[in-house]
Amino acid sequence: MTKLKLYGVAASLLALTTYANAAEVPITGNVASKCTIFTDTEGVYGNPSPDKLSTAPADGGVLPVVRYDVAIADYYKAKISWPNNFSTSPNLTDALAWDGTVEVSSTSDVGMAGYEAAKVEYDNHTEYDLTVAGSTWFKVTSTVLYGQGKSLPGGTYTATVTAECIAK
Amino acid sequence: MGDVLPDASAPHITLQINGLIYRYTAVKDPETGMIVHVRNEDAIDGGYVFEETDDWSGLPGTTIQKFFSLPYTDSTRWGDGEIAVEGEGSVVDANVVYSYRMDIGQEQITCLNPLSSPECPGFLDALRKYLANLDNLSPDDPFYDQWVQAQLEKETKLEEETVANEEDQEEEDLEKELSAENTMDDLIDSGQQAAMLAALTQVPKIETYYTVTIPGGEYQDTVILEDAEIPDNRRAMRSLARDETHRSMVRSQYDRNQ
Repeated sequence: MTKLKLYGVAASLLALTTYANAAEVPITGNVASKCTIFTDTEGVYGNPSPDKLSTAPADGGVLPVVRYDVAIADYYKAKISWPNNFSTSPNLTDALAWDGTVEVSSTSDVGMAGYEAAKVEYDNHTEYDLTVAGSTWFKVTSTVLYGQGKSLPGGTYTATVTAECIAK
Repeated sequence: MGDVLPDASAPHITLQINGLIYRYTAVKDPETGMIVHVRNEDAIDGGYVFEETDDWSGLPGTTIQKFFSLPYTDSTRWGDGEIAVEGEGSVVDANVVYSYRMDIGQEQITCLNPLSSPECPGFLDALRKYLANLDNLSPDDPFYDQWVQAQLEKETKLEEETVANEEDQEEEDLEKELSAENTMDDLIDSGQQAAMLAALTQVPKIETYYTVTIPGGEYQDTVILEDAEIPDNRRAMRSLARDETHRSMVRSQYDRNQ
């Protein structure tokens, strides 16, 4: 009986010791983005005809330009969408016909020369595979026609180009 | 570099280049080979102080722009620049921008004319020379205040010198008056004396002393002594005899003792 009692006390002490030494050690870390997007130039709509708005310089507009900076090669895709609706505008009672294009404006490396040829377009989206580290500038053309030869109401029109950096 | 960079040939000015951005559009067939060199000659050591090569071989042409952050290099090393193309293709819309820092020794530049700032070395000397050549100054002149101040100081200095001279003269006069070596000339105003004598010698004033007439005449003798016999004084003769006797008696005593 004595021995059993002793064993029981020793087991209890071991259990207590093990429980007291347990600890939780946190681990934190920050990941800096390796792909950043900057607005290089804000766009302006020109109004070459009563029913048309366009960012083309020939139409009196200014092309918006967005820059992608990629620190590591071949980890990201650029997805740029030309607008298909107005963020703000006067009350419109007729249909709008949207169109647009996205092109490589310039690059910081010769190896990016193939981006334009390799781009993928669908709907109002354009995707580029960013296979080379460095900066790439993309210019966006946006055009909108109002109704069937109908004059656009006077006021301020605002549309937005969406640029995303998607990890592959 | 021609006139691409600002002129830094003036003294106390240095120009250093610390960055470069270039941009151009390569026009070429993707199948052809093309190499583009963007570079600047090294005007001092020879070769190139900057050179970047873009190999477009097998690639389509596009617009490229590159930025380079460089260690500060004196602009004198940066010689003529060029964008050279090897192979088939061309470069259009080329643009090169240099980032530079211009150091201007502001104090040295400003003080090329010492009058530019009171902080410049030699300002006071230059100001004195400038003001010395002016008789009058317009209030619009930038140194009008200094000129007025200088005039006031000049007047004050003149007054101080006058007072000092007067004090010195007073001290000198006092010293002379107290001196034991006074001469007649110092004590008497010789000029005043001469003037006085000259006044006295004037005939009309001294004539009266010379022309006084003293009334006189002949003074006749009033006492007439008639001839007569004057007898000897017997009493005197006797007295003299007694005196002689007495003297001989006294004398005889002395003679006997001998």
